Amino acid sequence: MQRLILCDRHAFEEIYDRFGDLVYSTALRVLRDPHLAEDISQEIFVRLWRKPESYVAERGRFLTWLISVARNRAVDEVRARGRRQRYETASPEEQERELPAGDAIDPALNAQLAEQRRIVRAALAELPPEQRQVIELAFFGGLTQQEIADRLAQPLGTVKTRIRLGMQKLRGALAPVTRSEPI
Amino acid sequence: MDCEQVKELLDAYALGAAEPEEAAALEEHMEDCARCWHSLSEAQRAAAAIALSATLCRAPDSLRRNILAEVERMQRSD
Repeated sequence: MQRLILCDRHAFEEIYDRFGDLVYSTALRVLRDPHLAEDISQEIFVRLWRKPESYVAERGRFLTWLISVARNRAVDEVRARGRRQRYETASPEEQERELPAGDAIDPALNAQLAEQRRIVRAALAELPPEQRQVIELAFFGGLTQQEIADRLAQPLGTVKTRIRLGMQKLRGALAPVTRSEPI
Repeated sequence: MDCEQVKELLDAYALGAAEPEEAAALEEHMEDCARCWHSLSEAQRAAAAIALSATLCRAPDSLRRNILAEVERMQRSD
C-alpha cells in the first residue's frame, strides 16, 4: 500500500491481479448483473488508485476493507436503482463459471483463499437455515433488519435474534479465517 | 448508545443491516470506545469473510484493460 500511495503503477496492477476477481465476484453476487458488477469494480479500483489513503491500515486488513467497499458500493447501487435482490444461492450458470482451483495469477494466495472459501461455505452450511437466510439477506441482499422482518413477515425481534445467534456461530467457526491473512 | 446497546447491534451493523439512525449512534460511540472498536473489527472481519462464499468468477479482461487505461489517462493529466 505504501508503494501505491507513491503512485506505483506496478504495485497497483499487482493488487488488481490478486484481488480483482474477488472484488468482481462480490459485486456480481450482490448485483446479479455482470455489466453493473464490472462498472462498480472499475469504479472501486480507479478510486483506490486516486485515493489510496482512503484505506487506513490501523482500521483493519486490506482485503477485509476492499471486500467491504465492494459489497457496500454494490448495495448502494441496488438501493439507488430501487431494485430488490433475492438472496438465493449461486445460479447454475454462475456455478459453471466458478474459477477453477489453481487457475490464478498468484497460486499461493489462490490456494489460501480456496481454503478460506471452503471454511466459510462450510460454516454457513452449518447454520440453521433461518439464521443463514437473514445473514445472506443482510450481507448480499443489502436489506436492513426491518426490511428483512417485512420481507419474511417475521417480528423484528426474531430477525435481530437470528442475526445475533448466526453471527455468533460464524465468528467462532470463521476464527481460522479471520485470524489469518489475508482476510 | 452505551456499550451494552452497541454489543446488541454490532453484528447487524457489520452486516450493513442496521437502520441509518442506529448506525450513526453506533459510530458516534465508536469514536471513543476502544473496547467496542475491537469487537467491531472482529465482527467486520467475519462479515467480510461471508463474501468468500460467493462463486468466484473470472473478471472480464475488459475490466483490467479499462481500469489501466483510466489510470494511464489520470497519470497523463497529472
